Amino acid sequence: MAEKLFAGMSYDRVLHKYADTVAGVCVMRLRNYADAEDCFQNTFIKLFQKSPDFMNENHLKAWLIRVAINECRNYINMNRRFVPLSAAKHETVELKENENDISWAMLQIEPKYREVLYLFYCEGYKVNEISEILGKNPNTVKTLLKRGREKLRKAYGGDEI
Amino acid sequence: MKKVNFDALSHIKAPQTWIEKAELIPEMPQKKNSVAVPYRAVAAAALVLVSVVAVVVFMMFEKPSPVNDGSLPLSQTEIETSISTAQSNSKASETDVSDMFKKFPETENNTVSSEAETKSVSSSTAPNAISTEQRQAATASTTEPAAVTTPSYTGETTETRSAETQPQTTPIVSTDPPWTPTEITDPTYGFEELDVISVAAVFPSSLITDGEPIYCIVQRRGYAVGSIVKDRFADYRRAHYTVLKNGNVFAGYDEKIDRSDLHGEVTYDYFFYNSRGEVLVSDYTTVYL
Repeated sequence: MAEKLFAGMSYDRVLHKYADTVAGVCVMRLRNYADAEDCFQNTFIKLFQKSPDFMNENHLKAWLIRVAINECRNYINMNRRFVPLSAAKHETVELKENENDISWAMLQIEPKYREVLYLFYCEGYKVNEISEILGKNPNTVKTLLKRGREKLRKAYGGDEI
Repeated sequence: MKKVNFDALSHIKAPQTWIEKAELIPEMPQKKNSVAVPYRAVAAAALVLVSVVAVVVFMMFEKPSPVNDGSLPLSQTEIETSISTAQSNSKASETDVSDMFKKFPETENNTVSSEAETKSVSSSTAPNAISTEQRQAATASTTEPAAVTTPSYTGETTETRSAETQPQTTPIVSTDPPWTPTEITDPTYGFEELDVISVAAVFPSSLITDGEPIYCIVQRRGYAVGSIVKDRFADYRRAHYTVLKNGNVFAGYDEKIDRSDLHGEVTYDYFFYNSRGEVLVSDYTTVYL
């Protein structure tokens, strides 16, 4: 059986190249490594099973991010009713030790701002690309980006972003 | 004052255990698309089944066209079987069958009249019998000599009749019910036979005595099983007949039918029998309605 190729790359190569990206999206969204792992695995399971035709690596990367975000949303929706009250008050955040870390600050703001900020600053996407990945209007993305910066400033305590 | 350094976010690394588990994904049993193919197969099969059922139902409810039915001539042939037999016999007796149908009233008159008159039936042809009656009715006066028009008489008889009985012919016709010329219907078979079917048969004249009335029963095939005919010798069952020169008797009978509940081919069995109930001849006819 011929090996599946994704934008000209093998599955293992795609996995090692974009594992950190998918993991970052999942962790940023779920703020929990255990939950993030499930979404991480589901993302790559879908990649292998669906085997969509990608035009290039950017397309592949955007597809992975989009699928990871959707997996996280589905995971939250499915487990929303089963989150204990204690866990809701004291969410598990492994990155909490270093409050100077921007990652910790990111986790303090709402998920919708987190996604936009992460894609914009960490993955280097532009507003139009983020709007395509998230399926939102570019103006909405700009608004989320602006408000997310303000919230991140308050959480992190920085002067400028 | 702190500056936000987003590079720190890039340091989120996927744990090695995650990657190791993800590497095993290709070795997982792949889900086969086991739903789509059966679904399509079932949908196609259902479509074909519905189409076949629709065609079958359409064929079942489709009425056969009586005009274009190829079997129609055959049925009509069956109907006219007795007529063809009569025609062959009439050729031998040098008499036209169509003329004999028109002679039934005169012959019927003879069967119900006196014995002397019946002798004239058995010993001569119908025109002679009519001439006899016309002579008997010569006392009746009339002013309509052209009222009687009985065709197919021989030249001699016609001349004699026209010379002797022209003024007396009309009362004879009007005083002998029910066989008046206006009530006689030419035998028609096939499409145009709607409310009355005429049956006919030929049998040897030795089976009946002179002047003996004969009767006829017409029964729809399949509907007479177990039935008892109580009025076998009723007047309306009497058949008209004439004795041919070749020693045979040509008998005819008209039966009214209710065609409201008849569809397609209907076969009628008919029996001619004498006053003692002995069947003289039986046959059947098929009518396409």
